[in-house]
Amino acid sequence: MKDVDATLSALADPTRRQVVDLLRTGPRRAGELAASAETSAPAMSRHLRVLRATGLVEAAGVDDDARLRVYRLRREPFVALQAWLDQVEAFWGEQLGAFKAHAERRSRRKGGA
Amino acid sequence: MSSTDSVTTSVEVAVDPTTAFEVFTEEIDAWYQRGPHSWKNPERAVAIRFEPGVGGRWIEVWDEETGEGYDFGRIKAWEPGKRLLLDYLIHDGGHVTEVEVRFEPTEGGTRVMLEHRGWDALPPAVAAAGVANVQKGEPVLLGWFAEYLEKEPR
Repeated sequence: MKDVDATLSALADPTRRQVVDLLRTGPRRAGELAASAETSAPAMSRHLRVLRATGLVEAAGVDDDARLRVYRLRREPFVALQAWLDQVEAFWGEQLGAFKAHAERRSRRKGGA
Repeated sequence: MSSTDSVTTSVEVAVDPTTAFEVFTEEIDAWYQRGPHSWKNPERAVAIRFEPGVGGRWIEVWDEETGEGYDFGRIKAWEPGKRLLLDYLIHDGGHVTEVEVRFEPTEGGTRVMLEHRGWDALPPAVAAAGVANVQKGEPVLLGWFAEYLEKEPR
């Protein structure tokens, strides 16, 4: 639950959503991301820091030189969020099943609907 | 499927839509499954009920005598035999989502469709004050996740 909150929080910012969207097509450098998102390099650097802290995004490649570093999506946080929704779906599926059983039992007692 | 910003599930039940709506609302306490995820406070919960009509509460009753309990949310639409629309408070964060239940006649009875939506409009618990735009329901987020998961094999 805490992980999901962190994920949603990171994605509450439109620029960061745009970064995630851009990274879906493949890894990119910070410079490319800044240009595509029409934001400054320092601002993009801050956004990438937030995304990395939540584990949404990871850096790969040349560690020593920030300009050569590429960013890409990590799948774990997305799976966690999807898993949460899957649980919600399972919960309602179970409740509706119980509703059906009760409604039909009751209907038979009354001699049909 | 739980793919975009909503979770949907449905069931077909062998009673007419009017009866289905009645059973769903008036008799929720009889069919609602008790479990750790079913209640805000599993130790205190003794019943669950809807207060009929728009503005009515969807309440988890803790004390029948005093009426003390927890509001899951308010009823936003109450259309017997057709539709029920509810706020649904997500636990541990105060996030409001929305549940719509539709009752559609079929040959053998009623198809009851439940949609729990508004996940992509959740105001994140730890978000800074400047993220109010999310509350307005920007068309974003969870649709991506589904696409992303489909594109990349596990």
